[in-house]
Amino acid sequence: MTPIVLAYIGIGIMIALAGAGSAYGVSYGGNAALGAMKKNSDAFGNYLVLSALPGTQGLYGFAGYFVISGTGVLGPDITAVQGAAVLGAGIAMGIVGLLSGIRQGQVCANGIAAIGSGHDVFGSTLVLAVFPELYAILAFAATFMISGTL
Amino acid sequence: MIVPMFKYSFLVFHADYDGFLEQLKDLGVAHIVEHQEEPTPEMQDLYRKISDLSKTIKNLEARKKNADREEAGKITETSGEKLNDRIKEIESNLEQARQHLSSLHKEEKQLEPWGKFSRDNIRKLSEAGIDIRYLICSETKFDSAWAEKYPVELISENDGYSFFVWVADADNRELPDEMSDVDEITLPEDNLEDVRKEISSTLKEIDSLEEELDGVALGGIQLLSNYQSQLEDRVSELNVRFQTVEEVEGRVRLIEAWIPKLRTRELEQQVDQQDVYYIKEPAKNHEKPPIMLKNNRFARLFEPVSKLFSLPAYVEMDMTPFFAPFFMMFFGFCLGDAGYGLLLVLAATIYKPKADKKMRPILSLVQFLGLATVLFGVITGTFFGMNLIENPPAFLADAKNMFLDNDQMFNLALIFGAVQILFGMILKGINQIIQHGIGYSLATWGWFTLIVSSVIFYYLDQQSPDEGLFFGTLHMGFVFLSALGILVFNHPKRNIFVNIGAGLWDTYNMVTGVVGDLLSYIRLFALGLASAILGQVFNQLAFDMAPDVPVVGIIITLIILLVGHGINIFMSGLGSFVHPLRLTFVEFYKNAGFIGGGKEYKPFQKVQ
Repeated sequence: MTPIVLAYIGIGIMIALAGAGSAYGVSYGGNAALGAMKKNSDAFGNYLVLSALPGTQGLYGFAGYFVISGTGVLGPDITAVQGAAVLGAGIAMGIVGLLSGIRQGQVCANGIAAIGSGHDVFGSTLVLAVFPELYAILAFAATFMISGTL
Repeated sequence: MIVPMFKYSFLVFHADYDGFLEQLKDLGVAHIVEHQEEPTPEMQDLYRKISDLSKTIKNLEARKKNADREEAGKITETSGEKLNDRIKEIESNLEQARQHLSSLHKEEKQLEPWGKFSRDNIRKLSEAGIDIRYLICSETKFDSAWAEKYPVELISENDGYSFFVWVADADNRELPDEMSDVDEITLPEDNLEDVRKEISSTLKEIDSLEEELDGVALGGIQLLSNYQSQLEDRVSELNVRFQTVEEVEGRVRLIEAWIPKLRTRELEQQVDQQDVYYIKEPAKNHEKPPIMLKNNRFARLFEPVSKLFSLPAYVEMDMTPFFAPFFMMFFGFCLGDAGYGLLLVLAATIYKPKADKKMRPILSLVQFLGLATVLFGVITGTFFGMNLIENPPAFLADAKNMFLDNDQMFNLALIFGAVQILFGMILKGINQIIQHGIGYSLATWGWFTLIVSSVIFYYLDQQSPDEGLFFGTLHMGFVFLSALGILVFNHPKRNIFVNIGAGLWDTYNMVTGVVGDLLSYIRLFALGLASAILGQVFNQLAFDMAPDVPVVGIIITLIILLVGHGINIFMSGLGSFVHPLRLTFVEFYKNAGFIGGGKEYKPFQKVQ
């Protein structure tokens, strides 16, 4: 496996898994919002905001790719170490983005369902929902720092 | 700042009670102390009515948008209650009419294939002993030979079915074997024509009811709203009466209420003119007085943000003015684009004069957040996704060095985090002094001294490594003092060994906690980076993907720019709001020792 192949496998994993995590996450929120609309359609703004929250993991995956490609190493002259670094960053960002996006979406969905039932938990859900996101942020920061060493 | 509350216990003679309640309602300053939690059945009934009215009003407002203005008539009711009753009547009549219509349609469908015939004649025939039997079978099964073999006449063929009659005498009920797939039906009693007439009259009835509802929607919503306010007023008064305790065999009534310090003079002036005896006591924390916040104009804008989480407990300080500047800065840090910031400020400024009063504070908040965004956009050299560090326009070429690059922003995020955490510790120390006494705050000051002195000596050491300042004598002096505060003097009334044990436990918590909290602030940097990169990406997409066709190319570029930056403003704006929110409520409140759980001050007043 030449280093450039490894590097692009990493990039592919980063974008694909992080994006998939966000896709799952916002879908959980969207499904819950449709159910909650049946009970309480006035709070749609709240549902929208909470559904959109898990959308950031996909953005981080994409931004991670951008940061790495900005270093200019993704070319035929890439060294073995650089290829391994990009692969590592890609696996890290991708897996963390996937799982944190899914779980964050589940938290948001529960919050939306609670608001639909009439409980006043919007602020609390916002705070609780960003707990899983911290790890995606750390993975993004790690990707950034890895790109700094390339 | 939390407004101090006083608890007033009013003793009113039962004859003066109603007048006193009216006075309290007019003043609108008394938050009634509630001893009874469960509302009475009468109150529950009123609550139900109020919520029903809300639904009715909402339905009418939706109807108003689609109503045909010319045709709708005027409403004649003047009372909200009667109007509501009439609406319920119309709705139930409509329901009945629609059900009737649907059963009529079913009948029509059944009668249609048989065409017009006289029921009278059929009845006369059956009196004479001749029965007409109505038979259906699928077209493919119908054998035209049957018309010769049996007393059968085909009436019509429709929808893949054949409809025919069998003229029989009353005795023979068996169908021949070859007609095993044929079904017999009984027709409804009415004539097709009569059914059709009734359908059209029911439709007219439905139309006129709908028109009446449209009229109500166009003219009656205000009346219903007034009625709803009346009901709300009544239920709040009922609640006050419910919370009043009767003493001395019902001759004296006792009401307890919380009055904020700012309004006590107003109340006392009014009440002193009457024969009402009252006792005034300052609020004690265990009674859980309601919380009324009073802040300067800037911090007041952030009160809705504070309320998203929890109002403070009565004894502690209101954190709103303390987190407000940090929140603003963090928002700017995360969104960090001068162009987006300008958009926010402009949009809020333009919309503000047209907005209604409740929206104005929120728009002012948006303006401040926009300003912070512009500031950080300028610091990082980001304008609508354009990275001005890499591609500075001519007039900014000299300023290029003043922009902060990514590594510096990373450090800046951590510095902001450290400042907020240390500030939170100071607040915690002050809170402890106010609530319990200086002896209880020594551990907090110990930690503060330890961290600040270590940081200062570390940097001094970096500047001049030879002098060995880090871990040098002066530094160790501070460390020793801090250790005394943390491990030995952390609680004035406990045994020294318990103190040391508790201090070690506290040390473990602090070390893991503070490090984790500090790292949490990296999200500011990550969000700022992500939003800047997204902006860059959309710019690149817009210019690279547009075809070279002269006019169409520019249009496509503009569309991509609009849509892309719109998406970015929404998603990054959302993240820039939520993450600083979490940093405030979790990291800052934790380090400031925030308790929370206060309930809001809601005085007994006229319903607006």
